[in-house]
Amino acid sequence: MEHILYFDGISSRAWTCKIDVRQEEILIQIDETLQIISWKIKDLISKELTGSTLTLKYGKFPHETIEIKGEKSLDFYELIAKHTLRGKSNLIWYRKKTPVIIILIFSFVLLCFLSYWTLIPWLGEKATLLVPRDTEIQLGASIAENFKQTEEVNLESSKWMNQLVDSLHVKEAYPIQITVINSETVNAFALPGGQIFVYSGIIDKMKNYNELVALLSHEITHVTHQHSLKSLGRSAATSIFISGLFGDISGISAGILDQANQLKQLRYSRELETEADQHGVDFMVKYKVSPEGMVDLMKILDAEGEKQDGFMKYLSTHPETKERIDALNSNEKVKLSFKEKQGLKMIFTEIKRSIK
Amino acid sequence: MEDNTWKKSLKFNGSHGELVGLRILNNILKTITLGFYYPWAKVKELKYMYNETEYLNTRFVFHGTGKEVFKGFIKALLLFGILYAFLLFCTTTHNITLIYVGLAVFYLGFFALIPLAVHGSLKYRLSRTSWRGIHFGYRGNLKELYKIYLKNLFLTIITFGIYSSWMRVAVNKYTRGNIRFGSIEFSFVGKGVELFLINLKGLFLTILTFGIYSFWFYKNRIMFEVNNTKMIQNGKQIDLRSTLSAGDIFKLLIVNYLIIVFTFGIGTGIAINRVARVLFQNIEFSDEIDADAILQTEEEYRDASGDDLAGILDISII
Repeated sequence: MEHILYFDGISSRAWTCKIDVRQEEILIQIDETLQIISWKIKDLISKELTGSTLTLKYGKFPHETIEIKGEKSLDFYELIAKHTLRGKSNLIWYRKKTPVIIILIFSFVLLCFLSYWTLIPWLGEKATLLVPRDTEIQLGASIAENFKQTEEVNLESSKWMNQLVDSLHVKEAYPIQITVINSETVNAFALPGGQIFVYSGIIDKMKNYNELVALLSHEITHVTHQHSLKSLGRSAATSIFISGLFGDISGISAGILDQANQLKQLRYSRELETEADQHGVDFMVKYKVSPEGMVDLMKILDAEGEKQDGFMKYLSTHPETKERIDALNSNEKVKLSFKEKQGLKMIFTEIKRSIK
Repeated sequence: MEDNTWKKSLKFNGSHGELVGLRILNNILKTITLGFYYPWAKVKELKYMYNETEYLNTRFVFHGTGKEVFKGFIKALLLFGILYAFLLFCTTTHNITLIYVGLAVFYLGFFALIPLAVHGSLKYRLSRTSWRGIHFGYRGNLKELYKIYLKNLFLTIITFGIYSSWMRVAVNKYTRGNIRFGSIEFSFVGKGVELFLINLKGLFLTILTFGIYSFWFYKNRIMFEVNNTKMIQNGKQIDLRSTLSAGDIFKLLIVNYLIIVFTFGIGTGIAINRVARVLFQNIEFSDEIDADAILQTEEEYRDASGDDLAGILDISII
């Protein structure tokens, strides 16, 4: 049986009572004194269910209160809610609390997950497209300036590199600026806005200008497709989303989430590399340089990759070079062949000489 | 007094699922409304915490509403907005003197707001809390609190923080002495030197034991707060004591930490529930109050600005 207590708001004395919910009023009969108190339902200040306790508040401060404990409390709540405007919507919550909570948690997690994987990075990427081209070029130039300060720039080789781009009559939306860095590193990279850095180590491994043009066309694709800016936008958007979602979480969970984010970003970088390979081939065809150079370039990278240990290879931003070579070989355009250009050949020889 | 006469009259009944669900729902609504749901979310959580706490088998009731907290929040934000705006204005002038003035005003303002927040928060929270229909109340005077605060703050600054233990005790004595629960009064009988020794010992041993002593340090701080609080009903004094052990605190904090970390914060509700349960169930009373004989004495107070200010300043009151 339910346990009903009445408090008069004047003292803390608990009076056991019986209540009867009528059309517009609640009748309270005090067990001990048999006194009957009438409350108008529309004048109730609040009715709140917590666990299996229903608390009803009535009148001016200090309020009279009724506490109904036990299984019947929900029935009383429902009965009273019928006569008031507010409170009906809360019924679903009280009746089906557990399933509602489970559904809420489930849909919230699902929504967050979907946003994290698709919507948020997409939004971040789109937001970067709003960056004006001039700003992008300036941004790249200032990063490049900083980078040059810490590295040994090969001025002569850089001059020849830019001449090579000029002789191809490259017409792209960004001013392409190439800088050669003296280093044994077998790599190259592109910054937003047209700044491309090539390490002398990779030039050293090249046998003909086709490979060098392949490398440049790969990097120029990164520039024209705004790959670095898009990556930046995506990772910034996900970071903001994560910190907004988890707010003030501890360093360890933040670390775990950060690692997950990096792995996700890695997958995206690999997509971009594949895109740059394929569009690089188109670029070479457009400027009439044999695309076979792209496959040869991959072989250089592959030979270099063999030197790395297994785990580093897994975490590399570039897809497995063997997969890249297979992907290139399945592109029909790679089989096209163009006549050797003496001008390019001469410049390539100068570049090779200048890095010695 | 014999040990077996002490009574565990406080109980916390919160269920993990309910608070976690409530917090998720609150977070969703806060996200959707760009934070504007905050006052209602706060009230829902407070109601839950108070209503799940039982004293002598009767639950506490929190009467605050989202609307009250929202109004208070706007006022508190305005107050902070003015401080920030002044600091921002000073920094934009690029005048070093003005920047220093701006910073000084900002930090002084920050410290000056603390008593206002403590006073307002106590008044609001206590007035909006009831048990068996009887409301709590705070009768402290803001001017008096400022006097105590400023005098003690001055002494704390010139003693390089050593006086802070005596400051804490002075503020506790004043605030707790002014708490009413209907006709029941409260008092705080702790001594500054006692707290100073706890802090000194705690600081040294925590460093010497690479943090291991911190759990005993927490235990002693909680015991100092609880054991020195007294309730007085019709001239009869009821003592309180904490039976919390360093081991309890260790278990509570480590498990909570793991829960929060491995649920990426979603399980914070479980951690909050665990703290409330362990804390309340370890408070014992030397005797029971006459539960039927408390009279309503306090007036209603509905301004939540101080409580919101305390929220912004990150001061926890109750």
